[in-house]
Amino acid sequence: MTMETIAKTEAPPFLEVKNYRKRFGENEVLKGISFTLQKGEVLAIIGSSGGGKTTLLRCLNFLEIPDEGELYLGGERLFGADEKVKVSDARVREKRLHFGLVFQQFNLFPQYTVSKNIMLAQTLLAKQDFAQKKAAFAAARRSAPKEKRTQLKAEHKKILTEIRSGQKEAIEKKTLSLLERVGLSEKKDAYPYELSGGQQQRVAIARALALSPDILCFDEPTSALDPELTGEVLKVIKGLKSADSTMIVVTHEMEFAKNVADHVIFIADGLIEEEGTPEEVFEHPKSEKTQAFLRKSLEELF
Amino acid sequence: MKKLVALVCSLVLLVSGMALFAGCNEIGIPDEEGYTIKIGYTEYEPMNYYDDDGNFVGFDTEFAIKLCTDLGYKYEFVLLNNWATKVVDLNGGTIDLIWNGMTITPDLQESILISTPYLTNQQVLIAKSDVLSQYSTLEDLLNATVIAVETGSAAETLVKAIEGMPESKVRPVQSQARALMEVGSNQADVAVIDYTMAISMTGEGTNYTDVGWKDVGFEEEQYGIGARKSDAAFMEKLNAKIAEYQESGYLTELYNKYFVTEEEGTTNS
Amino acid sequence: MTFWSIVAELGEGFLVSCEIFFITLIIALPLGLAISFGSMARWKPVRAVIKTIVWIVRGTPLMLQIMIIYYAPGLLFNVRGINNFPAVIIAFGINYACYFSEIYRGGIESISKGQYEAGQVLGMTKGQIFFRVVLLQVIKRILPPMSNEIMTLVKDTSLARIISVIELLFVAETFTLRGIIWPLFFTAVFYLAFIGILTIVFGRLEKKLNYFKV
Repeated sequence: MTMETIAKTEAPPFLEVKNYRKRFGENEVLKGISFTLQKGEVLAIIGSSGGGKTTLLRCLNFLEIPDEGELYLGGERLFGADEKVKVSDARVREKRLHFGLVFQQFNLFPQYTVSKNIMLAQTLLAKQDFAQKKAAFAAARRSAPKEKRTQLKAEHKKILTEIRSGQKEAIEKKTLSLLERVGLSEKKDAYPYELSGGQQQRVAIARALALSPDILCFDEPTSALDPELTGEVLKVIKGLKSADSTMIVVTHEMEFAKNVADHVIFIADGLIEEEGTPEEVFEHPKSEKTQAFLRKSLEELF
Repeated sequence: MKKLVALVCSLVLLVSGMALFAGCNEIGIPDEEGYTIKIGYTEYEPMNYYDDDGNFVGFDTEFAIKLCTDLGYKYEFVLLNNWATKVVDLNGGTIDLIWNGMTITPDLQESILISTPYLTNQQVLIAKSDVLSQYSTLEDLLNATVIAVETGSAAETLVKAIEGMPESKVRPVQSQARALMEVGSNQADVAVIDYTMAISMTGEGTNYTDVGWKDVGFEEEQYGIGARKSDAAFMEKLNAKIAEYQESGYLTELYNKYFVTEEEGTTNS
Repeated sequence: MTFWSIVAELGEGFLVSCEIFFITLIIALPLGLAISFGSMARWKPVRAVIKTIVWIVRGTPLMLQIMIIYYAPGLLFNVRGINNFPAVIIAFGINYACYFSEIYRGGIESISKGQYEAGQVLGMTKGQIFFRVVLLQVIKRILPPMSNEIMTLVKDTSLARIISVIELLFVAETFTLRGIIWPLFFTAVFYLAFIGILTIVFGRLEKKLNYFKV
């Protein structure tokens, strides 16, 4: 174990997925998927529907728990199916925060404005943080001598007020900059139903970015959109690449995968059929299945 | 299409409205043979009830059937779902007569027409047998926590009239049978009901073997038959028949059949 | 008796009806939520027990339930049972909680899985997802059926009279015994006024939640 860890620190891939397997009842959807990803890279996952792409993405985000396999992020072992101890909800949530996920169906919260959608998770995390600090202060006061407590209380109160307003300011600033990044600053007070599908998906991207995940995943981000709306979303994703975000994109848009991805994986029947650079996969596919898939998606295009 | 639907709808409304009117004949017992008199009753032993073989019998049942037949009328027994609304039912034409061991009270005499008395009754106290000995006078009722009485009955009036009786102790329930159930389920310490009912529904051979009854000195009262004030002509004929039956001994015969049991209660009936 | 003294007496009965109404709501609204969670529980025996209870309660008349709670302990075990007002409250509370639970369940199950998953990937706890994300959407969805059910409750309070809780209709019926009939029909004014207020309140609530679409 120790040897292995050392070996990894020498040439560390940012993300390493080892032998992910997942079955639903009789149906084995992932049959042993392994891949690595470097920081700042964009990985495109292609393949026909039902091949396991979405399941893989859901496993990375811990929406599903793989039956077998391991996951390392930045050299840290984040998941191992062999761990017999049941992981607490709180631990799972912590792990999830390394990943962001943009859904096919956007899944914005309909009762909140655009900016509240983006702020909500940040606010909740900040509150949690605040509560912890407050508890720590209270503990410190309890161990302090009695006569000093009132003075301490006043001090702590002041610090806490500062922390709170600092948090609020930071969240608002971040939200505004994210909205600018997805080009929707003027829609910050709109409700989701007032936006077009493309705009909603851009808000969803901003929402996922708000927690600064290490890796941002997209589950067919444009397939629920009218063709004329896909462009604006893809443009935003492209923009993220130039900002050095690490991303995994499950997509049907072959052109987009070709132009944006650093690395392409073709998944068929729960296995990686072919992988490589976009040139390798799209121009010189070795596997027959890949060739057939690419031919078919070209035909659909014209 | 819409017009057609509207037309059909209004037709249906019209027809049902007409049917409603057609159902509204003038209320009253006509002076002609063959009219079906609707007799309002509630089911209770021994006045109107079903015996073990499922026959509809009872003092008032037999009495009413004989009287109607003798006068040349047909009859129909209409079950009142609520004794409290009997006057509404009578004036509304749902029934023509109230004939169900009805105690004559001044209040009732004001709102409806009541026949000459045909039976003498008394209110008695009922309680679980083991506590029955604690009650022997009207004043003893003050020691009870809850006294169940049929709402609107003579018992309610009498109990509330006991000197020093707080209203909170008196629990008005829907029927005499309910009052009995209150005692049976320990929800009331005692109940006050008709003697006629108490002897037939408590003690050995009934559903309330552990409930007994006792005369605690309530005044005697009289049963009468109720009719609408507008049916005075019919009431005359009815009173004449009652007098006839008293003369002939028919009512005594009925009384012996339904009230005189082998073992008498602890009262001086 | 003057008109106003009779109306005043009816008003006293109406206050009792209102008491039954509000206490029932206070009990049944949260209890219904608990029951709806039970009926969606992952553990099968819990689900089976809850569903059986809901079936029995929804499958028998409320009037019968009131009488069972009131009379059964005394008749079966010869003990002094529950007083009439508490008995009514228990029967109404359980009965309405069961009806509410089914409305809640329908509302909760109608929320798409995506809303939960969106909350999950944003690191929210189950409680945060329920209270911050799902609840308001559920409320918006269940408002029309809930307002229906709550209006039925107003009128069902009259069932309490069968175990001598002196509510509005009971008072009116005692007037008919004295030969005064109109109060019986006059009770409709009280019920209609109450329902009218509820209609306005629920209309406002619905309008208030119109700012977003589910």
